[in-house]
Amino acid sequence: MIWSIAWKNIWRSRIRSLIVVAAFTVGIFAGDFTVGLVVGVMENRVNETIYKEASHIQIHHPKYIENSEIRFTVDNYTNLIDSLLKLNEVKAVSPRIKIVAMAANGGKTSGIIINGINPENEKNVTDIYKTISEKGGTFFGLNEPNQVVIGEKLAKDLKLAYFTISDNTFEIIKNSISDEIVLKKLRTILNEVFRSEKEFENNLKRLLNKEEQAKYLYLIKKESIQYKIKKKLILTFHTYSADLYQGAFKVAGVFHTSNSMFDQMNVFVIDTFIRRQAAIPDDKVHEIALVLKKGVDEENTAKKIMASYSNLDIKTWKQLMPEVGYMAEWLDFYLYFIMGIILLALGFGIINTMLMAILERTKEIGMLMAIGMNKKRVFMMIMLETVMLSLVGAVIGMLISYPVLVYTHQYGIHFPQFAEGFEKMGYSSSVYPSYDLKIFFQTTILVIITGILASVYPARKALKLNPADAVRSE
Amino acid sequence: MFEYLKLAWRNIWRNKRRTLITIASVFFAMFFALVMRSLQVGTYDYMIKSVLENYIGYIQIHKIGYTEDPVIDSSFNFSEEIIQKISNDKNVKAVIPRLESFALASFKENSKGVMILGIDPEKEKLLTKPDKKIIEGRYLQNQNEVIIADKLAEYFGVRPRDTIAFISQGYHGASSSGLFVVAGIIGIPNPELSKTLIYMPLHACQNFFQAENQLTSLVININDNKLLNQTLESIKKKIDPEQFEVLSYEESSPELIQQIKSDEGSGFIMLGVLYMIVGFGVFGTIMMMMAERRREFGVMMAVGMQKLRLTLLVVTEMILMALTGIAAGVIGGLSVVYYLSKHPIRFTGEMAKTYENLGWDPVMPAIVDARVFIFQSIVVLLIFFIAIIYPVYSLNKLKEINALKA
Repeated sequence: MIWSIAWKNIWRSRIRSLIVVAAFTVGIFAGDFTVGLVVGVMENRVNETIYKEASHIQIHHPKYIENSEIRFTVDNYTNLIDSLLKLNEVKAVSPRIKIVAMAANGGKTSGIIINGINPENEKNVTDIYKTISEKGGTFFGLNEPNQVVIGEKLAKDLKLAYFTISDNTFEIIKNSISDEIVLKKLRTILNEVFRSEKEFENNLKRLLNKEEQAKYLYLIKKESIQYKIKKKLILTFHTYSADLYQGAFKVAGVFHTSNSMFDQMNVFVIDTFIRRQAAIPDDKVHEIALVLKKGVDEENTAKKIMASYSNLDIKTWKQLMPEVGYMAEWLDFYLYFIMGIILLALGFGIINTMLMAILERTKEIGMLMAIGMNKKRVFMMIMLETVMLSLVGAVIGMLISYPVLVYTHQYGIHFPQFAEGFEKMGYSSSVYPSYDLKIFFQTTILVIITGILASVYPARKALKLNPADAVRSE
Repeated sequence: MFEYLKLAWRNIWRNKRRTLITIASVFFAMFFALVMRSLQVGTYDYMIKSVLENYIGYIQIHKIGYTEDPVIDSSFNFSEEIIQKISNDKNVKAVIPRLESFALASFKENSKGVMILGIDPEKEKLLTKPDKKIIEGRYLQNQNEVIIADKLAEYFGVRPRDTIAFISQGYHGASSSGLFVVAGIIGIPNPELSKTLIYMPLHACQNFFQAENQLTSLVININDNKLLNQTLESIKKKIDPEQFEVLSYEESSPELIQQIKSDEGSGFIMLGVLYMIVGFGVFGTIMMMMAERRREFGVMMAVGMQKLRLTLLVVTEMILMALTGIAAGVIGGLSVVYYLSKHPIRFTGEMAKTYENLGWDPVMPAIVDARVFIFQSIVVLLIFFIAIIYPVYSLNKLKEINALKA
């Protein structure tokens, strides 16, 4: 009985129903999108950490992390790797030789870590090779054993990169900048070569006003950088037998992750070559990085490995890079706090809309009461209407937000003007919202509950009506 | 015009409940926009402040070329005269001398490259307050002492009263070495700095690097951040531009600004979502109000009121209600924001731990900023106008005969 009255009421006043449905739709969309964004930001950061830097689990000599000396190795590593690969959870494994070294070019030097790897195998573990741009050379594509792949930040620091707006670059920039005035200004430094980023930046700052700088500086810098591929880089380090080694390496490629600190600190070389140069015995490596299969819990896997190799130091990415975890937790919390404010605002919006709706229906509700409908039923009727409308709103809201999330997840929301700051923090400047179904439905339910709770107050207001007065109102 | 105002005024008072609900919808829009934005701006402001007061200060003065090549040879001669000149500015809170360079530190069999920061122990208290951050041992008292950052202390395994050795290249290539006693261990939130930083008394530092009376930077703390640019300009005029460069924190660490801005990026998305929600709250309320008043409008038109005049009347009413709602929202928002700025939200438990792990005080402060209030009021007014476009349009489409039947 109540059901059918509620149902008929909804259809009787379509505009009113539509407004309530729309309020819920907007609420659901806002909720789903915000939460998708928050979760997406976190996931990006964690995935970057895992697939470009730390992997899920790393194995070292117990003293290695504290003191990265060449002597602290994992021995008999081939046996260890064979048994690790037999585990169901493990997707890929990369053994690495790691040596603290000094890199030098011309008068510039920088402290670095050499990573001796097998290029083909490394591709299964880290995505570094994917970050090499078109002009950045290749991931060990040269025909020499002494090739090295370095990070962009290091290339800049060691003057292995320079800046110039060549005719080609200019054409590329023209595609993204339509501002004629800016292009004209850039033409004045066409083909001029700047040896350092600072010098290039100062020149651009002289040419462009603040607004133009904010808009285009990063883009221009990104397109104008050129690398000195095949140029020599001198690496100096102490070998396993404590001799001083100095050797020239040829730059094969320049990678660029979204963490500039990582790019500054890490260079990659071929393991067999560096093993010979550094006189490291055949059965020893310094680090074994593991990538696990999707959905596997790294803590449990780490414990499982620990059980059979208690003499080694086995750490998950959370232990290796705790600050990533903390930052993720904080951002998570902060954005949920904001989400709370948004939900509150939504609740009050719905209270207002529903109060107006009840006000409009004073006469009708009075009539129902006058012919003998008790208060409980009136309340039930209004709540039922709200629930039905909210469910319709929820379905429409989800139908809108899901494709939007999937689309933005695919193509990302980009903030090129903030890229530099993001990268200094180790974040990527593009946001890819998540569309995890569990979280999606959770949020939707949360919004529906907020909406329904918000309509309790207006429905109770309706109960306070005096039938005699209500019937007489306009 | 006055007629409309009079009529609108009476209409507003005729149905107080309806008016109240409409005003409430604008009030909530204003209130939430204000509180949210003030919390956002407050958080950014607080973060900038804590980073600046942890290390770099608001304004830095170096010898020309120091930023390009920060080595001890790019230092300059300390002179009271310059400090006097700068201190004269009303907005300058403190001028702090520093000498910084790199050295190799050794303790037992470990050695590591570190950054030595020579400070005036008393003056430094006016900016980075290192004395307040000592977690073990005590602050600098004697000349042959250093304090060491916590992560670095952990690396070496040093404790207060241990002796640590430094070797480095001093001023103009002189070689320098020395033994120092660890007076205390200081907690540095920034993980990178925490792995390399060592504080040394300025005179001891100058002796160690054989850079008698030399400084690498003067760091300036100011009273009011909003006057930063004026202070910067006035300082630039006072000192020789051929010899010195004067940099605001925006110039000396642009990444910090970008970091905050990038945070604002997500902040703006959230704010946009909030606007959408409150805008819809207003829209729903107004639509419902129009529906409720259909019959009334029908009667008005039937007795001969032109639609245009009716529209003008309704819009006048709405503007009156919007302004009241905005005023109420500003008052309500201001009191909450003011309270939160004086008594910031303080976290406990898990959340506080996360904050401490990041080296922050576990608070979320709000800021009372006139610009936020003005800007948000304008935005809410705009949202209101956008929200009433359709209801007003539908009023024009109203047929008298249908409206009367409602």
